[in-house]
Amino acid sequence: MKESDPVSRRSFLDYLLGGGLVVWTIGGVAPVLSYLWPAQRQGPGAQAVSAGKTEGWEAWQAKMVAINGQPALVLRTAQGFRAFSAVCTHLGCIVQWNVQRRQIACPCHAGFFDPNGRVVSGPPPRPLTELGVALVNGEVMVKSL
Amino acid sequence: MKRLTQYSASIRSWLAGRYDIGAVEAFAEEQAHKPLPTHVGFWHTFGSLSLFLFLNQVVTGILLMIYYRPTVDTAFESVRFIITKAHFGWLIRGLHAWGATLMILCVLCHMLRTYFMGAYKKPREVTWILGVLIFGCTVTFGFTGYLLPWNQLSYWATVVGTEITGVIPFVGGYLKTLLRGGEGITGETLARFYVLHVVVLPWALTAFIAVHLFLMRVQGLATLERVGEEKPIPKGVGIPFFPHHVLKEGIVFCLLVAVLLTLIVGWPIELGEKANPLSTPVGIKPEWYFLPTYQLLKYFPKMIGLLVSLVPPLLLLLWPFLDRSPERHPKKRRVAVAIGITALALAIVFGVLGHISESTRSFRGQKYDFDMYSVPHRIPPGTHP
Repeated sequence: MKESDPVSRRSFLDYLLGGGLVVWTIGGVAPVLSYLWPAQRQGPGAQAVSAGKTEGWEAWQAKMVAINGQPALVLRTAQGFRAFSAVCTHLGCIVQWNVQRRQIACPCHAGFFDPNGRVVSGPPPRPLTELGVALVNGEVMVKSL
Repeated sequence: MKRLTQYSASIRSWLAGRYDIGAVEAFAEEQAHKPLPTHVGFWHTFGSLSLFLFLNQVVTGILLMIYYRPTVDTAFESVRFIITKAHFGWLIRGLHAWGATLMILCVLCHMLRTYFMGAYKKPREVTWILGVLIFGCTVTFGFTGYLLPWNQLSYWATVVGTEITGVIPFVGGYLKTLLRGGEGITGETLARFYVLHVVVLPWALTAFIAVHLFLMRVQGLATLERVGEEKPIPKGVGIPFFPHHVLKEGIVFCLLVAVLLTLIVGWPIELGEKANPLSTPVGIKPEWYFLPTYQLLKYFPKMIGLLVSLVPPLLLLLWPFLDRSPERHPKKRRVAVAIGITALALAIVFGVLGHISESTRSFRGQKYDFDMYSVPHRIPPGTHP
């Protein structure tokens, strides 16, 4: 071995062996971590859910429906139907329609949203997520946007 | 690197202030550099390969349990979810299913090596008996795990497999009901097999393996010398466990992983159709390791067949007490070696017969129909069986 050669044959083999072990470990651990990560199931998400007939649904009345197991709030305003995810953007509690105040209220930390889903007061950092609404044969159909 | 050394030195001194770490290190050092008999070679790596495959089964089994649901309505669907939707689920299930097959193969090779090298003789009889129990556990793992995907093959193989226990006089009916959790194969059977597969058998096998390894380490590996004439291996003569034998194990370990991955990718184990208790598919066969017994049972009336199939495991269990010769070297044990080779040949022959029975196969352009005893019947050209 020359004086100037900083890597001996032995240490080169050591590096090779160590590097190989690291690659093996990553090869084993990566699929396991990936497997543990929940596989997204979005198949039924595109399906629209009926919130009921428009007939007899008065203005400023709201209904709750489940879309993909997640609650949604469907509201008839003076202009038409609006739908929002009922999961509060603060800490995930389920919001309710408050008829007296004409606001969407979160029972956990007194967060309030207006009928457009925008934050009026309280801790929620973002407006409620809006969902799509379509009127089909007199029925209010809701689906995620 | 220097910092890492400093950290490990400070951890060591922290531990040394509380525990007798020197004794532990001395023990580990002695175990790592223990000299092995000079005939120890690649045949001696099947034990550690079996151990590795057992660990593989434990890890992949835990991972499968995350998505698997052991009920009649969800078992099949959850396995389908694992192999089609879960990330790398096909790999995890493949490692488990093919790992099981390879584990049985490795345990068998390990037993054959022990048999032919006479390593089961005094003072290692208990280690051998534990080994036979480990083999029994491994095969039972295979039998109980086979039902869990709840597909047609697994359902009907379990129907036939559990039906055999009903033949035992007096207690057979009770045993069958106990095993199945009722009259037929239902959700109760699935729950029972699941509990056996993921709780009872793993702990039983872990205990057997622990004592088996402990005895192996305490008594050391057998040499090829006569019983009672084994001499301790002098330092510098034997093969050091580390690094010499560990390197050999590393090589076969890499080969095993390569074979395992090739099998998973090249020959994935099909899920098939969901179990239908109202329709038995044609040509139901058990897994390869049950084929010799399956075929043997056909040649005898039910009761006698069961007795005959109980002979090999009993012989295995009692073998160290039946073979009284003090010789260990295979060249000096011609009868024992002949018996071993005959048993192996019989198992292979019956296995092959079981595999080709009740099927139609072509041989040199001529079609043959094999009946349940694997007797070929020539099919004249132009006819459809």
